[in-house]
Amino acid sequence: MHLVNWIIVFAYLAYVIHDGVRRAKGTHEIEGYFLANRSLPWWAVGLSVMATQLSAITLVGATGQGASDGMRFIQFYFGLPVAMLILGVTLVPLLHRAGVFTAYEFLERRFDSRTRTFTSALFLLSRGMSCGVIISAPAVILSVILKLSLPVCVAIIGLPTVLYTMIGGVQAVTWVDVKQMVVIVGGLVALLATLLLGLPDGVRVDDALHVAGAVGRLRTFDFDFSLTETYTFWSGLIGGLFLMMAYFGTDQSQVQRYLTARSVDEARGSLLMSAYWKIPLQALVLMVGVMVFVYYLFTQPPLLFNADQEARVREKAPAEYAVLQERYAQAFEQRRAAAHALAAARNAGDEAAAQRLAEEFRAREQEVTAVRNDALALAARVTGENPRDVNYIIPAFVMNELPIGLPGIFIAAVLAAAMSSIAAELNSLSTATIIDFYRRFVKTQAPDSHYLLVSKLATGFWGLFACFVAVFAASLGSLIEVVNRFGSFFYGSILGVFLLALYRRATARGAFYGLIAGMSAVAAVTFLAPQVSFLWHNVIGAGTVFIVGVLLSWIAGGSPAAVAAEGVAAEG
Amino acid sequence: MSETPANPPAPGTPAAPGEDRRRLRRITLRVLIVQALTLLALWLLQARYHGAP
Repeated sequence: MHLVNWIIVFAYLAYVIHDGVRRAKGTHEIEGYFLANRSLPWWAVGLSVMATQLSAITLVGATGQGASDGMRFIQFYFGLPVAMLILGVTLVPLLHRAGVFTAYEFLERRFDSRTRTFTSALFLLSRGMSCGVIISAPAVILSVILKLSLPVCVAIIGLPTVLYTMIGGVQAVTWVDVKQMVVIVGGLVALLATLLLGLPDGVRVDDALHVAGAVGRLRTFDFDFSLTETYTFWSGLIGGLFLMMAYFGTDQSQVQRYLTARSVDEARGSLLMSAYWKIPLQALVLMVGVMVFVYYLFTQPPLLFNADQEARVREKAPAEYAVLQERYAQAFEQRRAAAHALAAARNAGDEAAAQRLAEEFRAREQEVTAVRNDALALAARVTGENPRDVNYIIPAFVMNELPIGLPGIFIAAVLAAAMSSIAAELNSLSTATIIDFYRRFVKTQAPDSHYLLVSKLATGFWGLFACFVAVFAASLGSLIEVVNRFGSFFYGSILGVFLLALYRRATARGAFYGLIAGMSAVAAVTFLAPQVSFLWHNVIGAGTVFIVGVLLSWIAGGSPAAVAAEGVAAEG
Repeated sequence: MSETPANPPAPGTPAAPGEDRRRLRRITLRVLIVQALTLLALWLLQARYHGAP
């Protein structure tokens, strides 16, 4: 990589560490370290909420998905705005007014101690693992670009993040997130502008979009109702609604963001920022991918984007690979000619010719795809690994095609996306560890300075644990789905418990056994009907917990939940 | 974009129930309108450019 790009990346890293560490000045007690003394403005919290959700996986995986599969991934987010509205009316005021550190602490007040312990433990387990996955995505990119080993790249990303999160606490996380969002959006806009300005002569943006649309890249809505398809309108709207409610309403990594807001109104306002901007932002991410696809219609891309795998295939099956490359070059040339002809016909306003040429272009695209699939199968056979080539499309484009400076900006954006998510998760993992476990079971009485010290140590521990997981997470399947799968196994059921908390007559016994039933139901569906999309697991989990919880509360009774939290429930 | 008043009440000060409900209704309406417009824009993008069978 060019020296200028390196300077940009290291300047970014140095600034982030400096900016994060200097926030330590305001954190001398755990209320400040974990909740910033509930003093942050809605817009900073809102940007932090968005930065936490937008991980490097989104930048690398989703842009790659835009290039290979088009815009339809956006349907995944269709439930988000409604989820934010529901949370703004229900859980946000409940949690903020309760004055808790963790969402699970609220469950003890509403139900009982074991429900808190169980849900918090589930959070620690799932988030501890997924934090590793979030580190591994940019580490994979760095390992390809720098030709360094994965553990070294994990350390490059993880250690600065651990450092500023550990020292600066939630203040560092939030204020660094604000700047990181600027870097991320700036990087995406710069990338899209470069792609649009770099279209070949005679191809306007309108033509480029028509060409991409001719092979389905601009299909945004799929109204088929299918339990097995993840990216459909209904999966996104219903399954996505439950996933987003669970993520923003019960996952400590997000709940802690808005617990730092000055008031309930400001907490609500911070979530509404995502309600307004998440779908447009995701459209930008996917559109970058679509335009990279268009770019590679006119410039021959590598047969395999994963340079490491390509080198191994070239070495172990040279003859077979050479044949594929020859087929690829021919198929590419024919597709390029077809794309040019289609763009020219559209440009000339010749509709009949455009329709005929679109057919021709689709046939040529199928040939290119067929050769690529053969190459991917060869790579899988030769290396014994899933090629996961989609995750390398954008990094390969950025490094090989962009002018000096832009690769540095893009890598800084990927690092920003990764660090903002990792930092929020480390911060929340530490909070749950200390507030839900250490302060209850290990050292119940100690000065604040002691809890502050162990909180910092806990942040460091979780950071190292996540780095360790990251080294192995890279060998799992598609990065995007891995993270969502980790979450959806528990998410829906935990959401069910919080929904139950809104029901006045729900008892602690109903909540606890409802939670067990919900998780069992999700586990049963996962193993007995693996074809059901993971988005529906959240609906199944939440629904089971709620129904079983209500029934048990009616039938078995028990100490009225209310005992513990009459006042809390009344607020809902 | 802000849903918060220019001079927010002191932390912990709950709004009057009637006022809170009215504000929530306004917010809900605004979010739903923005989402409808966003989906409409995506729909128009698809309608204009999606050409695959």
